[in-house]
Parts: sequence; C-alpha cells; structure tokens
Amino acid sequence: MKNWNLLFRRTHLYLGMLLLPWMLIYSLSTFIFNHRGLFEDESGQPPKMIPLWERTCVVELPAGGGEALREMARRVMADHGISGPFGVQRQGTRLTINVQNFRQPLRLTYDAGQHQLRAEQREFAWPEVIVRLHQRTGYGQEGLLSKVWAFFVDLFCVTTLVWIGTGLYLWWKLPVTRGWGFAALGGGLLTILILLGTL
Amino acid sequence: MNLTPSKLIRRTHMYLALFVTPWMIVYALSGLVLNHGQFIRGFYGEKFGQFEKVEERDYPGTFSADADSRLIARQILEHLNLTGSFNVQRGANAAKVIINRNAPFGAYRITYLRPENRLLIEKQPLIAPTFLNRLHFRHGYEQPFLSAKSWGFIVDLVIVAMVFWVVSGIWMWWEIKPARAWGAACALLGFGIFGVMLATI
Repeated sequence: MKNWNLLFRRTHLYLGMLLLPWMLIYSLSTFIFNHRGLFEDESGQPPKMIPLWERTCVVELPAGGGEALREMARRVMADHGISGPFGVQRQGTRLTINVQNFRQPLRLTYDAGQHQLRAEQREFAWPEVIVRLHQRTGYGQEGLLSKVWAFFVDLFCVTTLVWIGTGLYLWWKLPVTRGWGFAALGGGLLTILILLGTL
Repeated sequence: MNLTPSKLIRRTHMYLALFVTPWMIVYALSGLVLNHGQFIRGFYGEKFGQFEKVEERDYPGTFSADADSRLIARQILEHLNLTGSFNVQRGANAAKVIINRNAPFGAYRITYLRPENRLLIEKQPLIAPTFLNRLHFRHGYEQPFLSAKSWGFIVDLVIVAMVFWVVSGIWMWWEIKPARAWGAACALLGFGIFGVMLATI
C-alpha cells in the first residue's frame, strides 16, 4: 500500500533528522568508550578540578541519609546561588555534592568540622563532555530540562526500534534486495549468537 | 544492475542496518532500562543485581607471592571452566582476590581467599535488564579473548554505521525534494533543543 510505504519512509526520515545530534553524540561517545586509551593521558585520570572558591559555611549535617541529605545539599546549593541536577554523598563529617553539567560539572565539598565549603569545577575537555552526554539518563533529577533530556533518551531508544521496524518494512518492499538483505540480517544474527555463546 | 552513487549509498545504508540490527535492538532496549533504572529496580525489588552464592570449595592450586593478579584469576577461572572476559578487584598479595567474570548470561563473582585456599563462587541471576545492560557496557579490545575483541570490532562497526546513517541520511533527505522543508524543520528543532540542553544543564 503506497500510503503506508510513504508514511514509513517519512517517519524514518523525519525522526532521523530530529535526532541527528543524539545519533552523532552516541556514535562519538561510543568510539571514546571503545578506544579509551586514545583519550587518556599517562596518569589515566580524568581532567583535573579547578578550585573556584572556599567559603565559611555553617550547616548541621542531618542524622540520616537519603532525602534528608539531598534536602541539605539543596539548601547549601541555593545559599550559594547554585542550581541543577546533583548527587550527594557523605563520608563522616564530609559532604560531597556533585552538580551535574554537561560542559563543566561542579564539585562542592563541605567539611562540617571546619565549617568550610569548597567549590571546584572540572576542567573543560570535549571527550568528557561527549561521554557525559552519553551517560546522563533518568527522570530522577529536578528541573524541567533534565526531564526533557530523559524524554529524548527515551525517544531515541524508541525511535531506534521504529527505525528497525520501518527499515525492515522498506527492505521487504524492495524484492531485488531480499537476497543480500537476508544475508546481512542473518549474518548479524548469527554473529551475535556466536559471540553470546563464547564471550 | 546500474549502480549509481545514490543507489550505492541507499543500499549501504540498508545492508549495514540489517547486519547491526541485533546490536541496535540491544542498545535501544538497554537504553530504556538505564533511563528507567529506578522503576526497574523497584519492579525486581532488593534482589536486583544481587549475587547469590553458588558454592564454596577448596582450591587445590597455590601461587607464588609475586604472582600477577590477572594470572591468578585466569588460572582459577580455567579451573572452574569459566574462561572468558574478567577483571580483578584486588591486588595479587591481598588476602582476598575478587574476580568478576562478566559472561553475557550471568555474571560470576569469585572470591579467592588466599590464606584458606578457598573459593567462594557467586552468580548474578539471569534477568533481562541486567543481561541487556551487560551487553550495553561491553566494549574495548583490552580482554585477551577473540570473542571479546570481535565484540569490540562490532562496536566499532556500529559506530561506523551510525556515522554513515547520519551522512547518508542527510544525502537521501536532500534528494527527496518534497521532504526538504519538513526535514530541515526537524533537524533545526533537534539541534535547537540539543543546543539549549548542552548550554544549560
């Protein structure tokens, strides 16, 4: 049916155009993961943290962890004009807040014994930015844009399945390509099965 | 057959996609698992990702004090018929050597208690999300096994395919004149949203 064919072609194409940046980011970042050694210096350490400031700060560490700890981190960030998705961890009297940012994440370290809050920012490096774009997932963080990002991750995953479905349909509609198409598809399936059995 | 550049690009786009279809399914499904990690963890409960004890047994071998931790791990895995990709968590001289054997159908954790010469063997139960994630995270050429290096090569092939789909997709879009306006609108929207998020979060 011509209309189905056109609908599938256009869906395949327009979703591809919409998600071009994500396709590029996921391919580049996967290259970095697969060839990590090319992007690491001799120490194997990530780019260094640049000290920003150190301030006196007096806050009570909560007794428990979980949401109480997050609430406290949220308050510390707000008091110093910092916002964004974050993670927090506590080690004794030391609190570390990692504020996510694709370009230059921030690390806040609070020493409850000394009442000192230190802010550091990760040095900018393109490979790290690309990796962070790949690794950011989930709806757990506050902020509309964080949720929009998670929605696009979902959209990319679902679209990949749509590309496969519509791609298979469009391939089937080209009878002259069926032989080589079966060979390619069968070759891929056979390869992954062999690898799964031997890895 | 008259193979014009346009047809060659279209065919390469399609055959590459057909070959890497199984990997793209794995990456798409595991991407959904990672993006909904909290829900998945909640669905499977506390046992999600936990290792369960398989057995504890004596290990008959001994190692010299200077034995390399990977050599120890490799020998223990051979002894257990679990040869394949692995990593080691502790140094060779530690009292405990923890070997993680990352097999697709179940990850094993083997703890070698050196003073007692005993092995604790644990396995992560096979469930779809962890299976998919293990495949998602598998990459690189570091492991000295042909199958692991072949997987690394396929990951490179997927990268080449993705870049080729982008380039050939733009080519094909430009060839379809009625689709130019909507295609450009979609691309602008995509780059616009992506740019805003890259600049702000």
